[in-house]
Amino acid sequence: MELLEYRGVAKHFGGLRAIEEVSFHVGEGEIVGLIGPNGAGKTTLFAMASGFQPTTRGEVWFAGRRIDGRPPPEICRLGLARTFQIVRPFGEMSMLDNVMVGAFLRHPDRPRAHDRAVAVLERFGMADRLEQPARTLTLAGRKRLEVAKALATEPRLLLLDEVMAGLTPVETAEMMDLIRTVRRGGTTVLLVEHNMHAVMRLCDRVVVIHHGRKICDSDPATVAADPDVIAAYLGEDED
Amino acid sequence: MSSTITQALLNGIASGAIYGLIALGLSLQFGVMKIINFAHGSFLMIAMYLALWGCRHLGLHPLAVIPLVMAALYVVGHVTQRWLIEPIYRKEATREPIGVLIFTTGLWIFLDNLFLVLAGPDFQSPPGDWPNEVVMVGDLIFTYPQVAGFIVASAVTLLLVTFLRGTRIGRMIRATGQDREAASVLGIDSAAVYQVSFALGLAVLGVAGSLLLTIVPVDPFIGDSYGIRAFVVVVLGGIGSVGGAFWGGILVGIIESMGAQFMPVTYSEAMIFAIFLGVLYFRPAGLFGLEEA
Amino acid sequence: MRQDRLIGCAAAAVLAVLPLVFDNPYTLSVVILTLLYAYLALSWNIIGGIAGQLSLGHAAYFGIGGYTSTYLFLTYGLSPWLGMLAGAVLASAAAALIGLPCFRLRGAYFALATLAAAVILRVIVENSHELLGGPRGMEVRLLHDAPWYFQHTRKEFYYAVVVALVAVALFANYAVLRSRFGYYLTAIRNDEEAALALGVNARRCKLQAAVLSAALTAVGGTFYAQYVLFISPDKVFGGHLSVQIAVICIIGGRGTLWGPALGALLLLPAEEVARFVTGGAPGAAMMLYGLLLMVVIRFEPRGLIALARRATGCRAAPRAGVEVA
Repeated sequence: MELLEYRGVAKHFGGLRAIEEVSFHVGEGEIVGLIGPNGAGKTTLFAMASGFQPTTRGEVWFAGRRIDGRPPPEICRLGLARTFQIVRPFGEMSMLDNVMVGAFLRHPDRPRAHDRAVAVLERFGMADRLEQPARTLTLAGRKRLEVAKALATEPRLLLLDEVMAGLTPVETAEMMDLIRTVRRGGTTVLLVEHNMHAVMRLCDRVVVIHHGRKICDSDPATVAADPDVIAAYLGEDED
Repeated sequence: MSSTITQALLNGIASGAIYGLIALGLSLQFGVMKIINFAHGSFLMIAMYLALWGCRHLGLHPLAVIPLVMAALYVVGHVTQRWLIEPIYRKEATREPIGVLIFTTGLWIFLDNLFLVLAGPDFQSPPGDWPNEVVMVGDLIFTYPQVAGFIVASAVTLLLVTFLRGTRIGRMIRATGQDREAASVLGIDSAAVYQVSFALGLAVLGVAGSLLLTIVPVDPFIGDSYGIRAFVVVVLGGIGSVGGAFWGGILVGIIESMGAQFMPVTYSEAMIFAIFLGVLYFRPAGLFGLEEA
Repeated sequence: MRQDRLIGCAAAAVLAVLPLVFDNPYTLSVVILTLLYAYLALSWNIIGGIAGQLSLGHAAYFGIGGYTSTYLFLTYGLSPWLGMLAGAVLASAAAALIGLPCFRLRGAYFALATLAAAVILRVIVENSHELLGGPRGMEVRLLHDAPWYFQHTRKEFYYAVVVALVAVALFANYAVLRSRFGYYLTAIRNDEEAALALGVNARRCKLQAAVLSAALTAVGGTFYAQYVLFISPDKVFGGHLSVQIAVICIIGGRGTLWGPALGALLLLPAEEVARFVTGGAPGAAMMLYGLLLMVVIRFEPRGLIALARRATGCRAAPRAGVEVA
């Protein structure tokens, strides 16, 4: 079943055409990678699905509902959660409190939200420093916290925006394990990522965006061998 | 148009040019550093007291004190930015610099009351008859300060806009305002740019304060009303737009003097604020929102 | 949490014996004023501290509270106790009215917009000569000892009332901070967009916080009117009052439970001392406010409460966000 679907989506900023026309879908239970050279418009696609930007043309559908143009909190409530490329922890709050903000969405009373948040942090291996203020975390810690916060809203679909950027190989491997655990827990994942190695190993399917258009949509091996994709990435190197 | 209306319109433009000049520095600071300086009105008050001091104790003409006040305010601006605001600003990094806002609120309260202690609560004007002399054009009457104020304010605005567009430092200031990260990639030292733009903003305020003193007397709390009005002007003109601030000032001047023809003075103050709220809500980019500083 | 209860009990005990110690009217009036400002700072804290929306227009709600109860009392003979509730309702409506357009604005714009809204309201009141007495204000008709009409010749009466108010405001802050609502507001203060992404309806939360804060502030306005028995636009609608309320809360520690009260406890008596030392020179007290605000923001932006906590060494890693959790 298709959980998320972009239907002919376009986004223009003034004269700049960030997204020309993009259609693809994410099926229930999949891990799909969204890749493309810098400035291809991946983050913009996320922003349109999560309510932070309206589409110029086209529609985004989630679980049988049209969601583009709806406010972010409503979309989150429907079961679509996102992370931010530049992580945004609530700096003055503790790790536990950060995750509780997410958990409160489905569990309005405090003891329940507290337990849920602790459970999520345990899955992330961070239960030993619940009280640590978020602003004192390392980058890897912040990236994990970013995912934990979003996961605490108990989404059906999780959009991850470069959660592995800037991590060491060991931390990256941990994050990959984490994402697999998330899927095993029943959450579908769409991720934007620059780390090709990780994308190829992690994803069931990869969608490639270049100059605001989809140029490929297939399994990792096919994508890696696709001449258009190779050309797009080589082209970037020349810039 | 009857001559009363014409007179009110022109009076409004004359004082509006000075309002624009007061707002200019604020707009520059906001445009470049994205900070709100609530002490702006207090700096205006200091400029006016300095001008008063120059007239009284150095026996200078009210217009001759301008370079002096300008230089003094530049130094004040440099010191304030370097030693007071920069340390707080640096701590806040990316998001809304709310700490600077609170800090300048403290500075505002402190300076106003410091001058209340130092200079007393009285309204004071510079000596001499020059401010009362008039020019007649047909039915219309203008005081010397009105004419001088309009000319000087327009000239300074023009100079500043030219400076921002035409010089290397000016372009650096504008680049930093548009994108701090990009500017730093280009090797621009943003801290240095902030110091220059803050100090420059206060130097312009020095001119405005000297001119304002020829029109209204100074008291320790004069900055309250003119400072807040400067914010209104900045928003009307488009936040960060130097040229827009000038036109915003003229607009506020006209509303004020035309309004005074039809309703109690306090109402025109309320009206300016109502327009301010309306613009904030419907046109956050301002009425003259040109991308400038 | 246990610590908060302990502090609460200690504070209650001190407040209970205080009027016995300070039985001269001057001292008692300083105490009452201090507590009133503690109450106002606590009210402001909900929107300005916890939610981080720097309102510089709270005098508007204070004024609405004072004017509503006084007007209803003078015109219809309605007891100010009831007028107080009417004022709270009216102030809530005003907060919603001001908030709806202003909450689209971030930080500095919000501060300016609330400031402007308060000025507009003051001007309207100043020009309502027949209805509200214009710039000269209104006097509350003297009934002497009439507790049902929120009046008494003894200051202890007002002392008891203001202590109750502070208790209510403390409890309101405590309840907010412990609830989902409080977590959401704290999240909004830290990063509104990130909060939106977690399903937080930021606009609604801010609006609710503003309404609650305004209603509490209005009650303070009624108290002031009944205590001083006279109100005028420059006293209850003035910009200085707005700023002072915010400053006390910020210096004490915005977004915390005890910070706003601590701010008032230190600043108001300090103001009296400054007045005494300078022989009542106008401006000296406010100068002190300004100076303190600058120093606190420069060296400890989280306020005196953070200093106090460090000094007493309790809680190694203070959870600045949700203090009572």
